[in-house]
Amino acid sequence: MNSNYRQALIKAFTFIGGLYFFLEFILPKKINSIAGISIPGGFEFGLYHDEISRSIQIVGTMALGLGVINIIQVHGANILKSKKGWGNSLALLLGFFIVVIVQSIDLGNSEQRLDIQQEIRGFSSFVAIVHEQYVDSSTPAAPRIAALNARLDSLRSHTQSGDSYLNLSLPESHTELTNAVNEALDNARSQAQELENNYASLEPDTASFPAPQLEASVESSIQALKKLAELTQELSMLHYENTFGRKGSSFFFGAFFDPLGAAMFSLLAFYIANAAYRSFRVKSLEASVMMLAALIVMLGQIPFGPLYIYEDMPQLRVWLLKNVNAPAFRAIYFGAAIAGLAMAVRMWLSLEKSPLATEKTEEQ
Amino acid sequence: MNSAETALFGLPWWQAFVGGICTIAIFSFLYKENPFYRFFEHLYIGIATGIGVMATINTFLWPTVLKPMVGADRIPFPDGTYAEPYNEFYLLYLIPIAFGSLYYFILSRKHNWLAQLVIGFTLGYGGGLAFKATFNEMLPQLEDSFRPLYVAQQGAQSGIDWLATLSNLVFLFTLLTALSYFFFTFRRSEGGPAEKSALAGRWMMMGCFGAFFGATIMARMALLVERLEFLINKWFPLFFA
Repeated sequence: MNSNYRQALIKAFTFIGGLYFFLEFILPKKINSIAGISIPGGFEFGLYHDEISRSIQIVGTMALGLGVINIIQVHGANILKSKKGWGNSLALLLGFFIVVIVQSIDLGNSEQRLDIQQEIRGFSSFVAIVHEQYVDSSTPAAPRIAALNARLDSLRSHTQSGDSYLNLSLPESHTELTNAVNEALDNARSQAQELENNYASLEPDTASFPAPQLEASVESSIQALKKLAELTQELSMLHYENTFGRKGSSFFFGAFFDPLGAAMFSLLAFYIANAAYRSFRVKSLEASVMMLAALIVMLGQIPFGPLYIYEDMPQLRVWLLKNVNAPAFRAIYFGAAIAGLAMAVRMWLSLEKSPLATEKTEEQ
Repeated sequence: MNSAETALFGLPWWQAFVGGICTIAIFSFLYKENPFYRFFEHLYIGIATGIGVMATINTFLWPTVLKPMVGADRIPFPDGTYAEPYNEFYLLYLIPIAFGSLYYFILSRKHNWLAQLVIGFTLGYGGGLAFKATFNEMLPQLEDSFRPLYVAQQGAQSGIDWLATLSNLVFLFTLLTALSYFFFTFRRSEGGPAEKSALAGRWMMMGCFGAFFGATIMARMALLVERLEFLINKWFPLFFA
């Protein structure tokens, strides 16, 4: 494709990218007429705002892999060529891949738990829907409730299986939960069986409806199934917390990510103290004002200030933050926001030289 | 250690042990840059990148995009039906996925202009969004800045509320003088009111920066105290318990 066309196409895409959000900002929520021509029912511009925003988020998310490819390229090359510090590159890549593998396993475990939990939570809605369709359109209900009973029976077998999220072989400390789940499962099963029998007895002759005992049976089945869902959620969560993926993820967070991150940022405490010494030397009036404000903020935040210096130090700190810090920052922000907006418009209309443009593309 | 966990706040001992080594490795930088620090620094970058990538997949890509697209978010019923029908409109997400995939053409010398389409689109989107973001953030602050210069006492008492009035005066003085510092539309005459106002704005901004600096020091100190507390109360006892 001709390079001029390419540039035009890139500019067009840049413009289209910002058009929706610009229009969404300036247009009213509902447009009832355009140029005097009325639109029947009106036109809601932001009707699909969530979907459009999510789509744009997806576009941005797709760049995630580029970062991964870059890391692998740079550090993989260091390892393959045995460059100086290749061990560090190996640590980086190992840390990255192990975390990705462990968290992928965790995602799988979490999805398995969610699937079974969602299914059990859906049982009560299932009974309500079956009953509604039975009443509205005489759709046979007994076979559908029989399917629910069969599923409840298979869940009962899951309570004995070691790898199931419903396994009831738990340590003694969880006896109360185990008994409650057992009881809820039995109760839900017997209520559903009663419901199945009720439907079965009515179905050859649906004209005998309404049957008050059926309504009561539906309601008690729904309540029993809701109780079962509530308790199995607790049980499945307990099992999930003990899965390899969950424990592995917690380990990486607790043993590496949190301590390394906190230590890295706390290192700055030493350097900031050094910087404070240099900036707070009372050489000018401005430096003195700065030092005084910093002192008030720091002393107002620790017990030392109100205990030994001035009782109302915390209130003084809040007053300073509200009446000096906030307006000064606001003034800076107003200036920066207007400049940022001007810059954004230039970028949107492709008036700004792209920071990504190479000399070659500029020539084109 | 026999127990799987230490008695120290229920933290698994091996987690506390590794956490302590990580902390000391990072603090070793205070002496000088060394291989021990470099190793753990790289490890941190690798782990943080992995966590970042997986967080995007776990919290966004899978539950809100891929799962609905394959219909895995629907609740199955025991009779083989689902709580709600499959919504094929979710397949439209394939369009942004395909468009976003153009980013990878940046790796191709011949077709890297295709990546510029999606980069341009993202820049344009940022530009369009800036209108909404700027005005939504700025207007409430602007509105809040119009403060009364006379505040009456609340309740049974009558007269002026001196503290509130003084606070509003200081607020407006700071805001206006700091704004005047950034006002470059005309040349300020030496010793004129514009220059004096800008100078006052500079002092007020110094107060603002000092407050920021103080808050930053306190935040870093809190992190340092937390790390020292961890080393002293959780890590060292592992060796002396």
